[in-house]
Amino acid sequence: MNKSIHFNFRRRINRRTLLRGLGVSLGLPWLSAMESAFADPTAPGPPQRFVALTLGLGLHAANLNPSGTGTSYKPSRYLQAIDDLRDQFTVISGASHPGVTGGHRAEASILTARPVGSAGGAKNTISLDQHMAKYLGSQTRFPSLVLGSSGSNSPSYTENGSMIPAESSPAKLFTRLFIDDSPAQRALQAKRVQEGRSIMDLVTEDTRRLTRELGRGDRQRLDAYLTSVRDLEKRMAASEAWAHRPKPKVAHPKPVDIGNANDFIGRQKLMSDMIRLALETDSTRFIVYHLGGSGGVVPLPGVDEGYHSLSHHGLDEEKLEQLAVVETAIISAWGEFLRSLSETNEHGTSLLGKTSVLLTSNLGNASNHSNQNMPVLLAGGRFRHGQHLGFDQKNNYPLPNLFVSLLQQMGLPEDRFASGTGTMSGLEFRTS
Amino acid sequence: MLEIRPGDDTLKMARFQGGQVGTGEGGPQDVPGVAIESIRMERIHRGPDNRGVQHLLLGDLSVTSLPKKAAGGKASVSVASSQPKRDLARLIHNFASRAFRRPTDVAVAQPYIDLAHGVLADSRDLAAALRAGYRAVLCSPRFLYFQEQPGKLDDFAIATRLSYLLWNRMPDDELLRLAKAGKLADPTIIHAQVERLLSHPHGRQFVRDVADQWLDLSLIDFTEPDRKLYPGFDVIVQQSMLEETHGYLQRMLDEDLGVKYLIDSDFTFLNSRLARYYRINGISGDAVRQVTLRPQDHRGGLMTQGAILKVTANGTTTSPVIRGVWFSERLLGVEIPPPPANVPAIEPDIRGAKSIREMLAKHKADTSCAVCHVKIDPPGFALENYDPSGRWRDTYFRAGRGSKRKGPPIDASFVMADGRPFQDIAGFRELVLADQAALARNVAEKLLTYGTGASIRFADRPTVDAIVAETAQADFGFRSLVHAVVASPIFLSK
Repeated sequence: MNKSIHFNFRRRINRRTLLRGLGVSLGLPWLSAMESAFADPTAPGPPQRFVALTLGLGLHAANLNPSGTGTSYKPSRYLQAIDDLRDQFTVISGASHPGVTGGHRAEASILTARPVGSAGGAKNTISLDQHMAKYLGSQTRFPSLVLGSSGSNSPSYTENGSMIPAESSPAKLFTRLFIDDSPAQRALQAKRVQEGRSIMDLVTEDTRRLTRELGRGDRQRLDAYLTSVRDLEKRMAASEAWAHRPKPKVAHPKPVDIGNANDFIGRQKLMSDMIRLALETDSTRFIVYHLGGSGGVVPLPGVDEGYHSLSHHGLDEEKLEQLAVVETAIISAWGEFLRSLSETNEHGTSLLGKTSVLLTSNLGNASNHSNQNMPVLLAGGRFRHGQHLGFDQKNNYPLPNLFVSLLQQMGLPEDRFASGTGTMSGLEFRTS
Repeated sequence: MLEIRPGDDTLKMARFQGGQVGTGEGGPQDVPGVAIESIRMERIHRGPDNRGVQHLLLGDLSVTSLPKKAAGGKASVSVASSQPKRDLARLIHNFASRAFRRPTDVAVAQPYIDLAHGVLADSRDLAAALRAGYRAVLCSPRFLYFQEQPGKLDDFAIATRLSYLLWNRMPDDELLRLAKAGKLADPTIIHAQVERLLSHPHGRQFVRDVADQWLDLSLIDFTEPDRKLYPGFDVIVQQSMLEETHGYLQRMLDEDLGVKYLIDSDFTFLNSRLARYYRINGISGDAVRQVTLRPQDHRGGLMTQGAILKVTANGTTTSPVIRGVWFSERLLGVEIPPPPANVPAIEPDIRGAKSIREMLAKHKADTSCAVCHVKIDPPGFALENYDPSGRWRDTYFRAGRGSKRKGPPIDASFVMADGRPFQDIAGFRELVLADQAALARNVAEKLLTYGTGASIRFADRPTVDAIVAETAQADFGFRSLVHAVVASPIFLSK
């Protein structure tokens, strides 16, 4: 049967999938393979960054979407907690990715906006963050970071449709970002990269030979494999150059990972801190942080049912109330993160002014697994915020247009992304 | 005798403050306990043991363990050889032949050998050179993908397909030997090999792997039934449900039972815990075993097994649409197109204000919806008597703030797409059983898809028809279907 990326708390990849799947996993850790460079200090002014936080279980629309549109909207229950930041973000309702279905499976489409579907037949391709990193990521040590709260699932995809596994340990991330390897380790790392590059050369050659023996369908598959090998090769070449450079130093102590997988909010806060540090030190400019659904009971007062079970509330008041407690905490933690960015000063402007932060989910309604009416909050960057863009709930506005807006504000001259054909209407750039 | 069953919700559990529990602390709560002083962990090998692995990777070369300190804190070995270059070439070549699942010409293995020789020249470390060579072999598309050329498959490709279909692992020595002798095109030999593979202990894996994908059983723990609404469900019940379905499919395979058993039967596989959960009396013991069912048990066939009912619900509610689509596509082989984008999915509502039947009724009025819903709704409604945790229910409930009251009675009656009415699951089963060839066709198609990795195309129809016709005499037996699928040109060619 077809391979499909599905929402699974204990992600299992069996050999059959590996042997037959479209994606190919290469035996190198993504982060080390992606190591690149420091930012070029001579570049004019602070650069634009992009951070996407993606939720696996959505946000209850009735509590999220405000009443009234434009700048005079009345904050919803969830937005009250971050109303002090009102001028710094935009609420978007009534938007979704055209043609994308499949409930939880559409997690794979959050940032690619491509329909992958429940049958898994269609092929996924590059996600927004990777698209940006492809053109703008070479300036920093890490072209991008793909992070998660638990497990390795992520909505980040490469051009040929392989999911990029997420790093879910803040402690490991901290080590990669800020702790220098010993000279011996660096030498070993450089040697490994070298060996890896010769393996990639060899595999490339052998794949070409093999291609000549195969049918057309398999040839396409091998081409995709070859592309991923070449990408990896390029990244390794870049990382070879940086294996010996010292990493930036921060005052922050190395974090201790939160062992309780159900502590959704604790983990969100800790990882958000790491994201801020990564941005502050310009270690990377493109970050995806996936807050996948957790099955267990989130340790918050008033909550005694599993988070996933609560998302299937069936309109039951008690479940909805508990769900609201969890989701309010998610929004509040997001708000804290925004505040921390806005308090970080960089060459006279706040870090938030140079960082677009998107919060969204594939599920517009987790209770019936609808992928319409996705929850969307966008903060920071060069946009003029402080408004509610309320589109048609029945006939959704194409959300990929927001992705086009985001690409343009990064300075990329693009007017299309997936099914997006222009910038998002109503979302303007700041003049100053 | 003392029995420990972690995770059994029906056993009384002591409440402790956490941390180390001292002797006697559970006493006042009248709960027995066990103190575990230490646990010794032992490595369990799925393949050969340590010595066997060493032989496969290093042959007869002598190996010495290096102290951890010398190897930068990691356990490592030094491999000695008087002819390191020759041994390296030989070992890499052997390893590549195994990994690529076919005899590998020196010419094909040479680049991998060269790479290892390069590492040996640089490092003078045979172990490191072997590791680099093996790593490269495992990155090769010849390892990662099946090597199948268009047209009739060669013997080695057949060996690989057979082995991954029935064992989900590499072909063993006997299959490779037969492939080398060019015998795998012979139908009698293929038949005998299918029998051999299925009878082997690894063959027990077949129904598990097929059920994981065909019946979505790999998603068994995707949701957890709401503990308040569906009390008594726990990991023991869940595991027993998996064993029920695995045991049932294994029996169908072992005894070549017909596809009608997918729909109905007077037996299933239960242990005491699952029997209690299903409210069936008189079953004792933890091991799942065959149990005869009575009509009042409301069970029989695959579709009334807990595992199936659970993976087709979300833990809180059931939806006739979700279950109906699943049943149509997985058991009847009727593909249902996705719903139009502008029609919102039904909003589950457990407050009981409006029944799911009322909510779905308006779909019937709209012709564009009705086209699909005449097919989706019958199996969906027939299964409404089973709650999201797989238990039988006669009524819905109304959930309110902290309370759960009895709701309206369940009406599982409906009409088939062709107009034949039924009252409940029993009536529905009878109607479905009228066309067993359709059930057999679906099983054949699912097995072909699973075995070849490609979906069935329009041009494959006559071949599938032939498979179905061939097994008609055996009442479309499950094992007969496996044999017919493996012998078919779809499986044996690309």
